[in-house]
This record gives sequence, C-alpha cells and structure tokens, in this order.
Amino acid sequence: MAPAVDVEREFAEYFAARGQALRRTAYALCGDWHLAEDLVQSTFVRLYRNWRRIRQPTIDAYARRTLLNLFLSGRRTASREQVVSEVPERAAAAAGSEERIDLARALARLSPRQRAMVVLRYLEDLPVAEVAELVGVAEGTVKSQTARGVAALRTVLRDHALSVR
Amino acid sequence: MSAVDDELLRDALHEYVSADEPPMRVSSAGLIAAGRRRQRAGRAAALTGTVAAVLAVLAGATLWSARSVPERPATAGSAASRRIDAALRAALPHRGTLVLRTLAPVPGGTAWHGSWVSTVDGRTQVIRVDLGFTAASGPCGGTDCQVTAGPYGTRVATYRAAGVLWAAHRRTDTFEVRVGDAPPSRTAFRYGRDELVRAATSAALTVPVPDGMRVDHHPAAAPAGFARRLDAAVRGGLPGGAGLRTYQEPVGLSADATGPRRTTGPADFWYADWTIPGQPGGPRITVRVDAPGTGAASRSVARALCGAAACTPVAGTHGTWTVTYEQRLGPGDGDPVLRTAAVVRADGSRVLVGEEVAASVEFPYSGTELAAAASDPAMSYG
Repeated sequence: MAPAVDVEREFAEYFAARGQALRRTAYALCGDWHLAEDLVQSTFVRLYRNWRRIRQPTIDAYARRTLLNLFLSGRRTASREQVVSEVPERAAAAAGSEERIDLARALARLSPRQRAMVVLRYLEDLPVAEVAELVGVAEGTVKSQTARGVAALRTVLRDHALSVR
Repeated sequence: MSAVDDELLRDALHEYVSADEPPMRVSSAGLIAAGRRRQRAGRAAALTGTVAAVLAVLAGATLWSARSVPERPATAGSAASRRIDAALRAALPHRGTLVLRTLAPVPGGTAWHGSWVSTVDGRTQVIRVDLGFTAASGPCGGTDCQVTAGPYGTRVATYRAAGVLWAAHRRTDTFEVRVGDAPPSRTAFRYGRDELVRAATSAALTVPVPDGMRVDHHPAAAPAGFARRLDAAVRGGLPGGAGLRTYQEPVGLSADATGPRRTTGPADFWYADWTIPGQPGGPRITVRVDAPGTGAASRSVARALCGAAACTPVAGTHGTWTVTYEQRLGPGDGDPVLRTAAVVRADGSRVLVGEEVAASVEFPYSGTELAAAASDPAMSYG
C-alpha cells in the first residue's frame, strides 16, 4: 500500500490537473457556478476516500461517473423538495453574450439526463459507447436523446451564426 | 448533423463554460482535510454503531431508544421546516452538517423563529431563520447594509445586527423571511452575504406562510391581453423602445402561500423583462405591476421602495407618488447598478420600471424617461 504522503501528493496533482475541467463539466451540467463547485467538491472528497482502490487508468471515468451520479441524484432530491434558488420563470442573468444566454436557456430546457448526454458527447468528447456506460443506457438511447437535445441547441446557434453574418 | 454544426456546438459549449468563469475556491488541501474528516466520521459512525448495538442488547432496546431520540420541537417535519431545511441545504456549504434545532411560532403566531446548528472543524455555528411581518420602512434592520436585487423586482438586504449577519428577503410589503449566521464570537461568520442571500431567497420563495400570518386579499382580474398591453407600453414609452428584445414574456404571478407562481387567473403582480440588442453592458429593462389592493398607497410606501438608497417621493395627480432611485446590486465596484422609477397609485397598485447595467456603462434611459413609462395608464389593471 502506498504511504499516505504519496497518496495525498498524487491526489493533489490529480486535482491540479483535472479540477478545473471537472468544474466546467459540472457547470455545463447544472448551469450554476456555486452548485458546480459543490458537485466538484463532493466528487473529489469521494475520490479521496477511495483513492487507494481506484486503478490509475480509470480515475477519470470514476470521477466523471461520481460527478454525474451526484448531479442526477441531486436533481432528483431537488425535484422532491421543490426548492429552487431562483424561480424557474426568472430569466438568466444578463451577463454574457446573447448566444451564451440563449444557449443556457436551451440547455436548461433539456432533461437532466439528456443534458448530461449532450455535455459528455460534445464538451467532454466522449464516444457514444462510453456515454452510454456512464449514464447507464443503451447506445441507441444516447444517439436518439443526444440528437433531440442537439437539435434544440443547433437552432439557437444557427440563429446567432446567421445574425452575425 | 453536419461536422460544421458539431464544431459549432463544441465551440459554443467550451465558450459557455469558460467565459466569466469565477476563480476556484476549492483547494486540494481543503479537499484532503474534508476527505480525512469524512473517513474519521465513517470510522466513528461504524464504531458508534457497534457500541450502540452492544449497549442495546445489554441495557434493553426500549430504554436506549427512549434516551437516544433527539430533542425535536413539534414543528420538526412540518411543511415549513422541511422547505426551509431544503432551502438552506440547497444554498449553504457544509449542508450535510445542518441540524434543525427548533422552529416555532411566538405567542400569537405573528412570527416564527427557527434555528439550525452546524458544526464544522469543531466550531458550532447557529443558523437563524425568522419568518414574520415587518413594519420597517426600509429593507435593512441593522448596520453595514447592502441591498441586492431578487427575482420579480423583490430585493434582499444583508446587514449586521447584534452579532448576526442577516439576509432578509421581503416577499410581500410586510412578510419577510430572513436567514442569519450567528457565530459565537459575533464576528467569525461562516457564510458570505451571497450564500445567505441565496438561502433567504430560496426559503422566502418556497416556505408556506404559516397559519395566522396569511394576508387575505383577492387581486382584481387583469383585463384581457394585459401582457400585450405591458409590452406595448414599454416599447411605446421608452425612446427607441421598438428595438427592445423581449427577454421574457410578461407573466402574471401570484404571491400565494408557496411563493410566486404563474397564474392564469387574477394575479398579484405581473413581471417581464427586455434587453437592448447591441448595447454595451447588457442592459436589462424590467417591469413589475402590482394589482390594486396588494399594497398601501402613501408617500411613506413610495419612500420605502427605494430602501437604502436616498429618494424623495414626488406627488402626482390622482394621489400618486413617484420615486426614482439607483442601487448597486452587490458590494463590488464592478457589480451592476439598477435604476428604478416607481409609481404608487391611490388604489394601492404599483408600477416599477427598472434598468440594470454594468457599473462601467451609462444608463440608456434617464430616471424621467423611466418614470414617464411607469406612469403610462396602460400599465394598470383599470
């Protein structure tokens, strides 16, 4: 078994290398920086507890799966509790470009699972098979759900692409 | 989907997650400390469980269970406590450590006081939650006051009072929900203002108004096509308003027991916002129209609207009062600034027209122009 000092050094190095990327993925999933940071914090605490048991090549997959589970289970809890930090009818904060605002709104309209598939496919660039395994659905489901989600986003992006020409 | 579209989507997602990215507050040292604590807690829980099982066998399960039941008030498990509990957990760090101690009405039922405790790194902090009516004209009940904008034209004030850092969200004219951080040392606050504002807003918008604190009123029905009238009034009343882009369609909202929600029947107030394409600073125009009878019509109410900002009500015709004021929506120099014109009518209805811009940008409209738009008769139920 590796000494505790080595474990902590490895863990700190992994956090330095992947922490920001995971937080961006978390933000793409939930659309809220506070929540994204909470998700990343919980993910890394779980990672730390199981660090000795995780095989090195699978750390990324383990971290992604943990993040995804926390996001999806958190969504289920939130829907039970019906508590929101912002009322659903409220528009997004005005900061940022119009494209970002519209993209955020389009993402918010996707179901959490559908949004997760789109983010994993197009932000994390994961192959369909890996997304299917992470989300726990068939590859065909990933293809169909992603296609529907992307169609909504594509409309927003094309509108903006046309408007700047 | 073509490869070009694929690339467009990838680029847009990368830009979405990297632009305006705040600095990371989590550190590897903090995570390692948290991981160690979690491991210790897990081991302690396992040990405690084993000891408890042995004790239960030895001393008798009945006696043990009677002693180990945590002290809980009668209100624990009620709808109000569940929702506040969930709101705090949704908004505050260290949510897993929060434990409800008490939530109970004061005699007469005109206010409820609650307290949650949270122990982190051996330091126990009390999170206070109060629900009640307030007669204060401004949103602040203490020193070092800062006011931030909440949803639907509401505002949340943060201030210090008697060693507690409070965030107070006024849901209606008088019903207020506030969340406070009460450290033993009176200065070492665990939570920042932003976190308390989120908690107070979340709690205020979801907590049911306890029995005995409901205000029984029946808003008048808005005329047919009121949303379109609002939209036309804003576009017609503001110079260059025809170019406004609807950021959100006007919606009728009801401030009922579960917080603001869309309504197809009579609404307490209407809320909408627009933006001006191509303008620097991303200005946002918001309008809130309250139904008659949902507020009192007086000069003091008009003055109270501007809260911590100084303002002087100006008398208009038919018993109306108008105020214009500006407020910074956060403590930082770069935080947005909101300019508002509010008209309080004799029937108690109110119209608030606001413009929010980045601090470094000029307001697109003057206070006079906003006030003129707010005074438009089209922005009323009549």
